[in-house]
Amino acid sequence: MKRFLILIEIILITLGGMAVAYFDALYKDNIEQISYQEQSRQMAIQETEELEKAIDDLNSEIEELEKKEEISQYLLWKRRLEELQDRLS
Amino acid sequence: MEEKTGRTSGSAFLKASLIITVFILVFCGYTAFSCWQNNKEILSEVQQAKMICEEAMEERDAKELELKQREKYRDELLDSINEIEDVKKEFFALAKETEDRILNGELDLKIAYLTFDDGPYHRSNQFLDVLDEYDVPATFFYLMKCSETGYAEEDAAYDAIYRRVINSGHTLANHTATHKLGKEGVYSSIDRFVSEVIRNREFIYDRYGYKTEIMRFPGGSDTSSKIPDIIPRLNELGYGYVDWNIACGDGGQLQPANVYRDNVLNNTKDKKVIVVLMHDYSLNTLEALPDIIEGLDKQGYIFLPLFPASSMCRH
Repeated sequence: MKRFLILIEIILITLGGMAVAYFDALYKDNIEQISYQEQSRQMAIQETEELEKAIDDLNSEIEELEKKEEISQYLLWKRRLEELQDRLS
Repeated sequence: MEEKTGRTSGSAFLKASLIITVFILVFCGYTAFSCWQNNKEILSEVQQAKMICEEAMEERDAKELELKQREKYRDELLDSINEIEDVKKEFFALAKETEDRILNGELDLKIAYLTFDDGPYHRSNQFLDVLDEYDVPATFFYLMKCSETGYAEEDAAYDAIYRRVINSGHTLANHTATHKLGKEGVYSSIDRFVSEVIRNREFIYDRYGYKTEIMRFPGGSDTSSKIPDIIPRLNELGYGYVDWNIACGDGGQLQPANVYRDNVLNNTKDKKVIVVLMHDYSLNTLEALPDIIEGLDKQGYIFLPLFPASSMCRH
């Protein structure tokens, strides 16, 4: 009987210890997850900021190019060139 | 007696064991429960962190996509601009070749560069209408007329004129920012003159993305004794300057349209390349313009916009 009780106690202590260890590991894992997610988020935010800056720079470049395109109509100059060529031929 | 003592110690052990077992059970249960509770909370935090992270990543991905799309658009624009630049280069190269051959007597053609000074003006659009009607390219030596230089009311209208001049394929050229003559005017010092040219150049470039490469001295290149010293400075800025060899006469006292017309058409004799000075403000000049164009056409002139490599553009 005594041995049986001691055995039960040992089993219970072992099971209790295992449960605590399991939950502790789970807890640590989740904490790591949060930290990992936070790091990823920070990286994504930083990358987004860099992309936004790149888009802004690109937009300024595009604005300049659009001005240039607007003032340099292809068809107009093509026609003028052909007309001048005709006059010379 | 011994048997009683043995039974008592057995029962005490049993009680102690039960107490320890209950204690272990309670302790383990409590610990496991609190760990479970903690994990439950932390798990929801993990989910929240994941969501926030995913949102940030989605935003980043969207920006990445936007950047790629803008890059594609930029590349398309560049291709289109390069194509246009190639045609323009080809046109001006041919114009240069034509001018050289005319001046060498190899071609029985003549070139007329119509130029309009001091604008934009309210009447400029009417001049542009006439040029459009005859499909004649010209050169406009314009000033910096905007709110900054005291043209607040006219700014929007003049803005449209600058755009129209450029978009119609005329040459827009620099005539200094203010054209002020006199003691405090553009010729008061070399630096003042150069700053006037730079100011107007930047105004046109910043607003319209158009790079001016030709300028005209207000009053012409013999107006001031400082001009020989100004020219090297203008060359450094990449400018050539153009005078005129025919003036329609609208810069002085008001004359009837036929006088302006005759001033041009009767002074072309022996001139293979002419640069005609006009102003796009006078109603009489506007009236004379169709006759001037038709008359020059009859005399065998072709109309070109001024370009830096032209022999009329001096450095």
